[in-house]
Amino acid sequence: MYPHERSLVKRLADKPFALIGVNSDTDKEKLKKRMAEERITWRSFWNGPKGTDGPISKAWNVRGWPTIYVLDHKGVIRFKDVREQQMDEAVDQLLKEMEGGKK
Amino acid sequence: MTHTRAAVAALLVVAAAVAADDKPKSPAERLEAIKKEQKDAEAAYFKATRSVGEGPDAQKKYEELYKAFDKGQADRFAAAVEIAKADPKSDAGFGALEWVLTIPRAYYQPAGKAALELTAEHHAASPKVGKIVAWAGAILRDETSNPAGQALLKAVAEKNPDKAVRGQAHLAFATQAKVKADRAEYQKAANADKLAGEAERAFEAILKDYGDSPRLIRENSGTIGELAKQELFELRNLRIGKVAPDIEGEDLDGAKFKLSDYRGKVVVIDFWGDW
Repeated sequence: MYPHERSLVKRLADKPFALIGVNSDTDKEKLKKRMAEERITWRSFWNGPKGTDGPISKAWNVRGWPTIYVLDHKGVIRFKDVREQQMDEAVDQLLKEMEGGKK
Repeated sequence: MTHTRAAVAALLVVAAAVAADDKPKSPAERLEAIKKEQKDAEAAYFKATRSVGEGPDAQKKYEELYKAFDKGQADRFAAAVEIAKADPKSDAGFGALEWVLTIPRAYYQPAGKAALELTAEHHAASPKVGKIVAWAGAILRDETSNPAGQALLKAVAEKNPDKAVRGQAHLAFATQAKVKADRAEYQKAANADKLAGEAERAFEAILKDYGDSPRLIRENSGTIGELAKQELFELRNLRIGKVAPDIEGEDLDGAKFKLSDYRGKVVVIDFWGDW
């Protein structure tokens, strides 16, 4: 998971793209160590001290981890639970739409 | 004096143990023994998998270990079902059915089918069957996957006099409708929106009719209404084509930010954890 996300973030560094996490670990200090180890540089919301019972995942009815949503530049949900190659394709398609001037 | 008492006590313990070995176990005792065997077998299986390592035939070893464990548990589930068959309405008989039907793996083995059929036949109208129905509903998310399970859910919905128990069955049907809708969305099927509408109506109905009923899958799992509201929120706001709801929160350094800060960019939202 992390290697693919690292490479996606790196590849699209100059594009209007953002990878935003919602993290449900409860030990923040341990998490920060792990993020340094795994070179996780993208921003994450913290789901709070209740971990997987926290407010953000609850609001989005998240039942399994990881859960993925891909939004276009207007904030519209366009893909769900795409990973690896499929995630790349989804993001590239939406970036192309932006560049193509699709309103 | 103490010495003698201790010796007598020891003799009595041995005598009791010998006597217990001679006496046939009651169904309840046999069920407890099966449950304990399962627990021990699980612990042994997990311990064994942890020492497989990463050699070239690791995968084969994992498969062998699982195969052996799975055969053992199939036998244990079958033994429990035999206790239920002998006297389905007894406490031990019901206990055996409840034990088997709160283990997901059992549903995919012959003993699971037998347990579902016995429960439908003897306990569809029992106030005690709520937990079984809740588990069956959580496991049988595809309405076509398990005819015996579907028959139990239908029998309970029709016959059970207890509102909360009926609620578990109706929750199962609503969940199945949503799973159908989610699958259609994933497959970009033409009827995806229609199925989403059906799922929405199913959850609206259970919110209205069973909103205050507790979920019986485990202790303190909230009400049917609370779950229905979450599923309705997802069906109404998190489908493909909807503008995503905003998220307001803090990052891992405590700085406040919003999802809508990133409007104008393509965004991947990744619900994750490092465990």
